Amino acid sequence: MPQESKFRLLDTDPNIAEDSAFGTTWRDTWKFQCPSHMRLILKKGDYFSLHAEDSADAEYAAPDSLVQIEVRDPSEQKKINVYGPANYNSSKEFQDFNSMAQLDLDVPIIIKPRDFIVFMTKDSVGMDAASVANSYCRLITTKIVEVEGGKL
Amino acid sequence: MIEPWVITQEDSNVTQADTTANELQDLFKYRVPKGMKVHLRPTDIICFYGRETDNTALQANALVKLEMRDATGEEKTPLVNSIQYANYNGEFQDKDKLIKLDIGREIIVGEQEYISLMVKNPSPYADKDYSYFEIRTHRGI
Repeated sequence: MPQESKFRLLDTDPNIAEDSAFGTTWRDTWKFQCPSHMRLILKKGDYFSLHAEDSADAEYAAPDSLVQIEVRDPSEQKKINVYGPANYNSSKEFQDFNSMAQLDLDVPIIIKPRDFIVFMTKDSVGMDAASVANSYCRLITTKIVEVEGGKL
Repeated sequence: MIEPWVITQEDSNVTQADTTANELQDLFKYRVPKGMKVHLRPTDIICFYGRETDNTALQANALVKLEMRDATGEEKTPLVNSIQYANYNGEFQDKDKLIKLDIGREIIVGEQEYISLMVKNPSPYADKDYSYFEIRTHRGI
């Protein structure tokens, strides 16, 4: 019987691939591919935070720094926008829940095995492998857990 | 399909222009592209940081207005009436301080229609290069 539990998706998750190429256009900075044993449900109100640094080791600065989250099917042909493209300033809070960015979905989105959640960034200075390593993100969402006999 | 969407100064469909001192003019004007509709709702949020050309934030009593226009630009519908910049004050995070649209029901902004952020700063003018905004809304595609 499936049950829901809170899940924190971090940039350090073993199922996340980090972008390491330099670029000043939109980049798939962190790309999570849902493993075969897992399903997630993105819901309205899920909290999202991101800290990004550019290749000059400076934190992203307005007005030309943007953040976006997409959900993609395994072929990456079908894409659903779930956050942004918003100014970086809107999602850089990690502590105060009253100031954290939240998803504003009309209906929950189920992330199935092999689907992607992609955290995208863009700024005018650009990011490289070192700046991606200095950056981090967190999405607080929901995981579906299969429970045998109704017990965790 | 309707999905969350945020309109910012960086959107390729936004036209930016410095304003003239003491005149209410378009600072950022967004034109809805073909193949898309913007679904504005009473719960949608508008955030704005405005900067003068002399590198300081807009004056607290500068006026800021958000309005929708039809494709001809002639028919205008206010989305947030003229209020002082002190109400916006560059806040993008604190939910207690964010500004919601002044609309009573969902409004659909169709293809080629406009959403304009207007500013009247006493002096000097509002600088497009250092000002930024976002409208947290939804789009139909």
